[in-house]
Amino acid sequence: MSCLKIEELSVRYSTSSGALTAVDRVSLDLCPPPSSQALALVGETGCGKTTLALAVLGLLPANAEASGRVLYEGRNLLDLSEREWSRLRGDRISAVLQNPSLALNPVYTIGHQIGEVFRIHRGDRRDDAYQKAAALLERMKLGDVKRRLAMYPHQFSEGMNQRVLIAAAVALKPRILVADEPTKGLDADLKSAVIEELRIAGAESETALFLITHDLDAAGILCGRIAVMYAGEIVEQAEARAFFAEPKHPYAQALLDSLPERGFLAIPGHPPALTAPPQGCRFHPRCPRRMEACRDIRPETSTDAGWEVRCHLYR
Amino acid sequence: MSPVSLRAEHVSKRFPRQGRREPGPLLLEKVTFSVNQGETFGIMGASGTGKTTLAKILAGLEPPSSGAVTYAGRALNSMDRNTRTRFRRRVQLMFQNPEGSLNPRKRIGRSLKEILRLAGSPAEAHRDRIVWALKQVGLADEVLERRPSQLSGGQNQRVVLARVLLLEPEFLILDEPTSSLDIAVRAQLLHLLKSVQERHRIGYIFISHDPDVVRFMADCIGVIEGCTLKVWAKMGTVPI
Repeated sequence: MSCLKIEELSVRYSTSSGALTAVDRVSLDLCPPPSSQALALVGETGCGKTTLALAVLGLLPANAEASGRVLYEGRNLLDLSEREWSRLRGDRISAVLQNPSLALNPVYTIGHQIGEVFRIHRGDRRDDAYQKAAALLERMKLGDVKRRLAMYPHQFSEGMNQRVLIAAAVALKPRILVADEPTKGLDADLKSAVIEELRIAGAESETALFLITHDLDAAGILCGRIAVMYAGEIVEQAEARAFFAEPKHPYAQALLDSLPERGFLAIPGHPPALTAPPQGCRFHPRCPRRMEACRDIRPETSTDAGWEVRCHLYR
Repeated sequence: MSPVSLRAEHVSKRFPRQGRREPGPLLLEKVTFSVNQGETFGIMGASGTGKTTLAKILAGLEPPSSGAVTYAGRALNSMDRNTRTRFRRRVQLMFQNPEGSLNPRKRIGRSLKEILRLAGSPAEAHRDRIVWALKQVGLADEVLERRPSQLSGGQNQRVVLARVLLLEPEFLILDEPTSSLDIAVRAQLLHLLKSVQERHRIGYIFISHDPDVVRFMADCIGVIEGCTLKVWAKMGTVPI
């Protein structure tokens, strides 16, 4: 049974250059049986991944308008009040967002910020919360825990701040963890450490991970299912191992070809502006296999044994 | 004309201890390597190992504690004014975040014109030079009217490269140029950098923590470990 069900979710922004649809009729299931619980949403910068994450977390900006449903325990999260969200967010649904140094408050110590989770959601006294924060950092092997807890975010490296955010996010064993580009800009060692933290968090606390990334390595290691997003739409969704062995959508194939082991093959052209996406298939101007129908007719999603593809080649 | 080279000779860097006279901790120790025009020297190392400090030393933005950087056979600290001016123009830097390198309040066209004006290029030639530079990096001249916030990260990185090309560089120091880009844009930029190098014979010093990217770009690789740079001349022998 899925713990998070996204149905026909659309998010529109009003901007000075007109309205744009950043997420267009997206449907996704987190932890669909029988595959692993983790789901990765992959795609290029600007394709709508982060907007989708913000919609799931109830953090859309004021100029955004969402429609569709995001179902969690029978409730549509799009209908929750801010008061209801503040009880849910950080407890049952948690997040690791981009730019750890911006996500942490620069004027509070690391110990205060991890401990805050226990104080707010569990009503723990300051000393108890501090002890629990220490236990979490101990597990993360960040060394000299007492000194670390008294330090501020600017005294930590980017990778250490990222691990602190993960520690705070999984502190209460949430049902769902939304991680938006958690490995972005990290060197190989730090990236491995962050992936390991997320893997352990998923395994120990039975947290369903919703990973939003363009790091296909991390997606392959952590997730049992992959969804590929292009220009606001999901163009392919499949079990991870099968997807990496033989992606079907031409965009997914091109994305995998841009990996180092395939020679960094570049996709020609650029993603479309979401204010004016192309008619028909949104990938057709860049697609090496485009047909006449691709120019005018938006392809429907076809499903075969849990493998979903939105492409005229698979009608 | 023989190719010009950029060389680091026994470059060391210590940071001063705040408020104290005695020398601070060693960051780089006797780093030595050289790169010729048209070649790429890749520098790798984990976060905090001094890669960006080395980039700044090579660009003349920070002095080494000892050792020297030489350009066209002359040490930076003993250059006459003319050679120093030529060095400033011909050795350029490109950073990780293109948005941080472009003035957010200025349209792209104005940012590019400013470089030509500072370089003393005649105003009547500005438009043609800018269109030429944009063409080199695969951008249309419609970007001239936009501000950095209206372009993607990959497009901004191309604008930064176009701005560098306006100065006709002999060497380009690229400090993590792809680490803020997604995989598709990263692939595009790497191929673009290679084709720009082929056309203009620019020597690259390519700094990255990503072994795959460095292997793809570099003719020769150095890895910073424990303050020193270990250099491997042949790609196949690099244990990374």
